[in-house]
Amino acid sequence: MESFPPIPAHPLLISHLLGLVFLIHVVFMNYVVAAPLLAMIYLRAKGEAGRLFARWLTAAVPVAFTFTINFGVASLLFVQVLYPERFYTANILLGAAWLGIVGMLMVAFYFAYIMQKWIANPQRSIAWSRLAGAIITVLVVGIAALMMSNYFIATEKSQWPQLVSQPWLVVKNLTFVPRLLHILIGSLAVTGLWMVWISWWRQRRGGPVAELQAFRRQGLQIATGATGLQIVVGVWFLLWLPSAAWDALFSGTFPSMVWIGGVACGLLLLGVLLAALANPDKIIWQRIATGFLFATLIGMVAGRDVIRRLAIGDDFHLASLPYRFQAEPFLTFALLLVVGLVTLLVLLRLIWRLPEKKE
Amino acid sequence: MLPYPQWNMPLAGGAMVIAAISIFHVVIAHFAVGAGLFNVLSEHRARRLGDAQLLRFIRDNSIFLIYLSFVAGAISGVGIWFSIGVVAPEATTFVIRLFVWFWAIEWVFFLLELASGYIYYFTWDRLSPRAHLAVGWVYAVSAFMSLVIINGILSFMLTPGLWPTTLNVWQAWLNPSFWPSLFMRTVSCLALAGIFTAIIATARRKVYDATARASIVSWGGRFLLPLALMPLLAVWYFRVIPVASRSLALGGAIAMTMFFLFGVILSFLVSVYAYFGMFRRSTAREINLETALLIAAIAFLATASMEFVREGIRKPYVIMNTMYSHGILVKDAEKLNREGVLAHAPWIVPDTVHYAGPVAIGEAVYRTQCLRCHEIEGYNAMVPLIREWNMPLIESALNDLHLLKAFMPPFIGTPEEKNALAIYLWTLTAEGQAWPEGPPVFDRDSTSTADSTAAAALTGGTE
Ligand code: HEC
Repeated sequence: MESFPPIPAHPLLISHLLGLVFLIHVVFMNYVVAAPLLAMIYLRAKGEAGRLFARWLTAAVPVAFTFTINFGVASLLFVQVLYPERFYTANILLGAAWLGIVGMLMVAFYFAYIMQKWIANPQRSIAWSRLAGAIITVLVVGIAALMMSNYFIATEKSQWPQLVSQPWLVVKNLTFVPRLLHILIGSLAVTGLWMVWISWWRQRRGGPVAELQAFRRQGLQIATGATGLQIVVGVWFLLWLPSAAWDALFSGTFPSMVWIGGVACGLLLLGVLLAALANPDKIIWQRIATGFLFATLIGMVAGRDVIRRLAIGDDFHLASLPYRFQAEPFLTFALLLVVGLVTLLVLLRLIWRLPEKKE
Repeated sequence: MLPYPQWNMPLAGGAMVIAAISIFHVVIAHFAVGAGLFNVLSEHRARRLGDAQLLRFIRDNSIFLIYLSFVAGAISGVGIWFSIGVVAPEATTFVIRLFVWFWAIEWVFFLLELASGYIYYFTWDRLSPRAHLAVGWVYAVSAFMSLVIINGILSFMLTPGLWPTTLNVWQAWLNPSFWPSLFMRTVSCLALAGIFTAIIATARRKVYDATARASIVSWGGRFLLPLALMPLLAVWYFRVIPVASRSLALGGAIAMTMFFLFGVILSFLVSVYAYFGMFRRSTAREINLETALLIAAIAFLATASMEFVREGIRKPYVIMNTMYSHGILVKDAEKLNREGVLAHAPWIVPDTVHYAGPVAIGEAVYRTQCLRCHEIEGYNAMVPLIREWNMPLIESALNDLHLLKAFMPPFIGTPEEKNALAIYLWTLTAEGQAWPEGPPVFDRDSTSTADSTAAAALTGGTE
């Protein structure tokens, strides 16, 4: 790697940026993974309410897709700067399957629009909308599995000799199933809270109050159930991790402490969600739950990083990678980021104050 | 210094995978940039003139933009990135590392572009005209800025300018071909936006009557007129690019010259059509969907040709004078000539299952330096190029590969490796195939054994 230009900033700076954008990516990505699935289930339960819930859920999917991709791109950028050897090698070993993500993503995204149209059209049989939901779900879960495989191959250099001719062996990895479940159930928990905020937003905009309250309740129930289940799966996942991973996760380094804090917040989140369920009219509990959810996610992102650095090995120390700081380009970026975020806030305020839409 | 394994698309070649995705992306992305400017300028005009039809049209255009550019455009952009990472990981590592902060800036504009694009559409008729126009400007500026950023990185690869000596990344970005290529791209963005107005207006005949269509298409036609500058911009561009690249495009390689002329002439013709067919209201009224699509197809071909030339004339480099197309850095060549290219390509090991002795080594050397540009059969295939060759011809070709065709890097590696490659190439010729002992076993589909031995060697070995 010494042939390439040095990393243009302290590696830890880039690593923290990576954590930040990845966190936001996860928040949107989880919605994309679970919302079409939940919509599909609501459509099963027939009835007008089910259709309405499905409509509300799918309405936000394209926007969530867009920001999943946008923040995913940023995450990949920083990963490539820090771990090019690992990352591209994993891409190449996955080969056509890795490139296949592009096609899968495009089909899934267009189906999100199609599903919206189909649900909104009362003439069209519900079966079609459910089919669209199924297609999206299969594709996005497939993409999640490929992303996970890429992460796994990138970290497990010792497995490269086997993986090079049989890349599907990653599936046989003992942590594959719990990992995937961890992502899926986590997505349900996050989407449950998204539902809570979507319902408030629609209520503010003059949506039907009774239905929106029911929707919010559903969201809380889903979040609670998924969080409870997640704790079980999380323990299972943890038990499958090799003892070295345990040592790293409990090593007391800063990222490992963040992870432990995240786990604690995850446990507390369950309690907060139960309180929110018991007092559905008190928005404060929903706010606290969202706060704890973010704290949990931060912990999980940190834990992922701990495992990655552990797997990459003792000979690799992020902080000691050679770098040469490109000060001016970085400052330009920082400045434009601030300007961009302020513009974004102004734009969001515009929508927030928008008059009601006549339906 | 080839630190990565290889991925190859059999027959088509990896480069074609990149090219296919890129062309698709470039056209959509250029449209997205042009449409941003088109929408906001048109909205100013429509509000000034009180033109309800035009307003309605911009609204149609802005949802079309979301469907096309936020999905197919954004994802194919990711697709380019995925494919270059897999096919040309060395060059990708290089430009990512060098330009991280520029990519990050690009991302900020991308984020703004997406947010403002959605809001622009969702707030139609619900914001004050002033506020709505402001949102439109945020979109137009951020989309355009994302073009500006990426343009600097792409043009760097052809004209690194002062960067190799100063290592100043600003000079790398604001390089000699930055401005002409930015102008060329901007002109083509505006043109694509103009062409799409004709498509959308004629595709929705039920909504826009003949008068409305005439006025919309005629307004859209103005955005094509700058295309007439394309020949001049091309001259400017060719003044700043390296002599070797210029000569490739201007006759040195006839395919390049043809594509280049196609690109320039097609662009010019489209602008002529825009003037006579779209700009003038009497004819704008007559334009139909079929014609509009035909013009779009021509513009697509023009864009594709120009991109093809831009990529082509950089050969034998992927980054001019710095990295060869196969991923070896120019400064490493001498070392590799001494120590051997295979010694520094841990993933590329001789396939001793299908080949024996020097043929196995030669085949591995082939994968290090030739496979990126020559499939055995298929894309720029090796077999037809050398079928009738004999050993002396092959040897002298390898001695002066870079003189034989300006597209090719010189051979890199030890004399033994060169020799082995010559023997391997010879087994592909008619003479080699007819050799009494029979042609060596040849089965391209199973290189996996070789790769896994490579990986074993690389990681300390489990076999
Ligand atoms: C950067 C891309 C590139 C690389 C790398 C490359 N070539 Fe070529 N090569 C070309 C192109 C383009 C042509 C022209 C093909 C044509 O004229 O149809 C060509 C032509 C040739 C020809 C025919 C020359 C003639 O005059 O007919 C031979 C032989 C050849 N290449 C061998 C090789 C070998 C051996 C290697 C590896 C050491 C190699 N090339 C690497 C791009 C490349």
